[in-house]
Amino acid sequence: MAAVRGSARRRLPFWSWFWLAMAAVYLLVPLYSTLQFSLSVGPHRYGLGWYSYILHQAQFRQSFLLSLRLAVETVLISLVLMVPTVYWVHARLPRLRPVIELISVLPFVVPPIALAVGMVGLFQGVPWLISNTHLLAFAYVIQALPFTYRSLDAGMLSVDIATLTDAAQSVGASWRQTLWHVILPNLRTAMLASAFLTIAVVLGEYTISSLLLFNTFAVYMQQVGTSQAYAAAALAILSFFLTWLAMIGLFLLSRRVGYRRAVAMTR
Amino acid sequence: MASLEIQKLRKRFGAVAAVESLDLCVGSGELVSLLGPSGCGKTTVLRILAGFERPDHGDVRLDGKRINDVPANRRNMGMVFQAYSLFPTMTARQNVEFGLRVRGVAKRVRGDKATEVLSLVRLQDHADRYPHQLSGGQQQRVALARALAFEPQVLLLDEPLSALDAKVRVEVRQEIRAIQSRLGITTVYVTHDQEEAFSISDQVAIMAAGQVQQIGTPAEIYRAPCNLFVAEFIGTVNRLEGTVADQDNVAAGPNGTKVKIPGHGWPTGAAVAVLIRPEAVKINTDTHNGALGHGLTGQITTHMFLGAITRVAIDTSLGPLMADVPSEQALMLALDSPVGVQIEPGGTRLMAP
Repeated sequence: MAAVRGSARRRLPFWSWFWLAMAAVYLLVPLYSTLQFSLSVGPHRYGLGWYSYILHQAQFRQSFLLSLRLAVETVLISLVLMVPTVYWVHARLPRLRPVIELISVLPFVVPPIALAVGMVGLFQGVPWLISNTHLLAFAYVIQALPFTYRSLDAGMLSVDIATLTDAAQSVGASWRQTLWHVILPNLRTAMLASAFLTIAVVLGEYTISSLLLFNTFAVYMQQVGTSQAYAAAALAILSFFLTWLAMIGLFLLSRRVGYRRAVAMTR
Repeated sequence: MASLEIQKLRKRFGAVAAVESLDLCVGSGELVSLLGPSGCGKTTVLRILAGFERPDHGDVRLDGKRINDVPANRRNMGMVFQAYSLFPTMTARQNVEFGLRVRGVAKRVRGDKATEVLSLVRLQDHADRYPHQLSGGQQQRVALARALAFEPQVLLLDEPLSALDAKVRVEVRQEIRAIQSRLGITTVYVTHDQEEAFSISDQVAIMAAGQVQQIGTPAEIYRAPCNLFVAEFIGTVNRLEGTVADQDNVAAGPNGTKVKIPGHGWPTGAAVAVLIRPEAVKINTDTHNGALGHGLTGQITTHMFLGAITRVAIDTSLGPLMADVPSEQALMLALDSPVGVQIEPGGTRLMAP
């Protein structure tokens, strides 16, 4: 029996490593191939030429900054809209949870092209609005809704929201004070996860921005991809790097805000 | 100190009546426990008092003033919950200070107050710990300190000890009672544990089906239950069906064995339930002088050791009876041995079946 257990123990690490290696190969080989392709500046010659080329394109900077701004706007609108909604449903209207859950997955069912066409139809009589980039953020809020809702829902489920709310109110806190001082600090991780996913959705979104004729980062990538293969590979690697940079920046910012809150509480 | 009054309270959840026409008075500085089985509506009453639920009908009055429409955060009632309810991202001190902080109390004042109430629950040395660094008993003591820090008019406790182990439960309940007595704060305590309710309460309200069945001191309720539910819910009781034979006797059990209950006051021929507390059943093993032959006899069937006393089951002509005997005496009562049984009339009551 002991021998059988011993052999099972010896075998387990091998299979763990095997599947980990398989996952790494699946994820890293395309990335490595793209990186190698993007560094190719001639037959058997490698350099950063394509990166330099991309970074000097004004359209790259404009499209990336537009997408980044839209990502920030989308994150803010999503959190302002969804945190109180999900909180209220958990604290006082748990029976509505299945309904909200169903609404949250609608963006998976309705294709982005339908959303874009619908928006064009709805706002075509309002030219200043249809040409306003901020409009995209509202469309992205809908696109990111499944991720926002699920992250926040999971965060709310991980703490006893109803009891914490009752406890805060029993000592005299208003709804606003309860949400701000008691609930939000417990949702930091959930809000961060929601923000990460939203940024990823916004930076990669192509259909809506393309149909509404906005030059977002994804649209620019597509344009480069159709004409310059090496530059497109360099752009793909850059976008990968910049997306991670944006997420790390958000993470550090949230830690700093969390630290400030903790310090403020002790004052 | 404040008095609390509930008048004709009714609350339904869909078709289920949680509270039905309930009246209750809690005097200034009194500790009243709501005691009842699960689902009897006791927590609903407490949540209505706290302002978390609105009654369908009836009034809640604090010092005579109707507070039905006052929101929970303006009622000035501290509450300790059944579930651990400390704010996880705040230390014990920050939790305790929170009620003062939302009231805009100055930092130094609330710091002094937090130290004072944490000392009251003997946790001043744990002030900077987070809830996950505290044991269950310590968390509930911090919750008590948090509920007291802003000097509420009323303290509400919703089964605060149910998540704790037996030894800690006894310690914390003694602490709650001591603090409540020292501060003289009007308190409503919800529990399903009768030992807990009886040990700390001035008055106990027994609840069933959304109504108060009886309210009184623990001794009154134990000695003079007002109905069958209360009698059977409180403590342990032997219940026999019988018929009144005459003014001093009741014929009970399958063979109509006479049980002496002098001056019971029920009419002859009336069907009654005979309720006998186990401590009123006395066992006699002395077979000399024919003691066994003069009264009820039976055979010991089981022993249940409960510490200082042992609960002994006896098979008698009245049916099975339980008797509480000192554990030292129980050691001498062998299983299947014949014993004489005497029922003390003082521990016996008759009720409508």
